[in-house]
Amino acid sequence: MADNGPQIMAYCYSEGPVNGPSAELDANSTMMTIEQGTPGTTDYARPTAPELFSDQLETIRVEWDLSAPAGLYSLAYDDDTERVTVQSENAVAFRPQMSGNSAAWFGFTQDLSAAAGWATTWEAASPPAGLADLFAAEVAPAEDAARVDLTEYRHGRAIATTWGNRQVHRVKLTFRSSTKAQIEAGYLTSGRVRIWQCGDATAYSPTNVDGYVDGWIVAAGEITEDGDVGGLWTISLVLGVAR
Amino acid sequence: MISLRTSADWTALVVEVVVAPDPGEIFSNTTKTSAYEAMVDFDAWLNDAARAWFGVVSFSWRWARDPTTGGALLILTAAGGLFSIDAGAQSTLGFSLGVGQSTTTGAAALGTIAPVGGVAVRAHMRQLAVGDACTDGAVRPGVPGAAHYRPSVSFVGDSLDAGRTAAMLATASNPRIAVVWQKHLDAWRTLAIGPIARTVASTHHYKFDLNVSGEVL
Repeated sequence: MADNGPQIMAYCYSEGPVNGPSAELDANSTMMTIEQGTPGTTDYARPTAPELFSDQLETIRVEWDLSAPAGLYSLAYDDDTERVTVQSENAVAFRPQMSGNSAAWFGFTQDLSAAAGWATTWEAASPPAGLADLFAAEVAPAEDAARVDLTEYRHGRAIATTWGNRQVHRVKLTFRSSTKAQIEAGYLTSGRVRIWQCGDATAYSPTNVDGYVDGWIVAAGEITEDGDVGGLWTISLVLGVAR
Repeated sequence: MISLRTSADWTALVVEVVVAPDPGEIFSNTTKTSAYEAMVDFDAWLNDAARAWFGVVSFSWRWARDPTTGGALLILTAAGGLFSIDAGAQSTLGFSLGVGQSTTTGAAALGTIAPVGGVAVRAHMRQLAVGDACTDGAVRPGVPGAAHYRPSVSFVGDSLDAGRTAAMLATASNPRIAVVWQKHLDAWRTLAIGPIARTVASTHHYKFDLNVSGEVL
C-alpha cells in the first residue's frame, strides 16, 4: 500500500496459467522477460486468478526467478516516482515485454521492441493504470445493502423480509490532475479495487474504520473538477463488499 | 440498545452456573435468537424456584454500551452470594469463564447495537388510517387490535456505530426482527426492521432512521 497516503489499486484479471503463452483472456495479467544471453527465449509470468496489482508484481517476480534462464528479478512500485520498476538483481541484462493491455496497466508505454536494446533496470515511462496515489479518499462507513420489504397486513401484523449479502461504502476520491489519466483509464473505476484511506494497512472492520476497503465498483460518477483551477479532481464511487 | 434476532447458532448457549455449595446447574437455550431474549430467559432461569440457590442468591442483569465495538455489554450480578460460570455463553451473550464472583461483564453480545447517542423510540402506538376503510384494508378506525404499532425509531452514531450497524445487520435472521429498548418508558419493543436510511449528521456522526412496525410475524 501507499506509504504516504491514500491510494486505490485494482485487481488484474487472470485465468492463468502461471507461465507460457496464455490460452485464456490475456488483458492485463502478463509480463514477459527476454534475457540478452538467451534472446530466443521469452518467459511469461502471470497470476492464476485475479490478483491485486502489488501481489501480481510479486507473482511475476517469483515466476521469473523460477523459470527465467539466468536472471533474478525485483518488481516494485515507487510512491515517489509513481512508476513501476523492473530490474535484475544479478546484473542480467534483459528487456520486459507486455501483452494485451499490460503496457498501460503497468505503465510501460515506452518502446520495448528490439530497438530498445537491453538493460538491467527498466523504469516505466508512465504511471500505471492499475493503481493511483490519491490526494484524499473519503470512505463512508459500511452500509447494509440488503433489500428489505416491510409489509403490514390488515390484521395488524408486520413482517420485514430481507434479501442480499453485501454492504456498500460510498467513496469520494480526490486526486491531482496528473492522476486523471490513470483514473480515466477505467481499471480503477470498474471491477474489483482496494482503497487505502490512510496509512492503516489492515482491512476495514466495525472496529477498524480507517482500514482499507476492498470490493467491487457498483457505481461510478463523473470525474468532476474540484475548485476552478484544474488542480484537483474528484470522483464518487460506490463500492460493494461481499460478506 | 437494539438486539437483533440473528442467524447464529444460539443453541450453542449452554452454560453451567455454580453457586457454592450447591451443585452446578446447566441452562440451555433452545428457542431464543437475540441477546436480549436469551438473556431474559437466562435471568428467569437463574431466579427460578427450581434452582438450588433460590431464596439465597438472586440475580439481575443490565446492559451498557461497549465503547470499543459499539455493541452492548451484558452485566450479570448476583445478590446474596457468589457464583461461578463456565464459558458456554461466550460466543453469544459474551460471558467468559469466571469463578467465585458477584458480577460479570461480558464482551459485546451477539447482534447488539448500542450507539453512542442512544436509540430514540417514539410514538409506540397503534396507527390508524383515516376513513372507515383505510388503505391497510378493511380496518376501521378505533379497532386497535387490527392496527399496526408504528413507532418512530432513530439513532445517531459515530463511525464505529455505523460500522457496527452494517456488520450486525449482516447477521440478522430473515425476516428481520429486533428488540429495541425504549428508554423513557423502560420498555423493550419487538419490531420488524424494514429499510434503514442513513444520513450524515456531522463529521464522523451519522443519523439512522429505521422504518419499523410492531406486532411482528
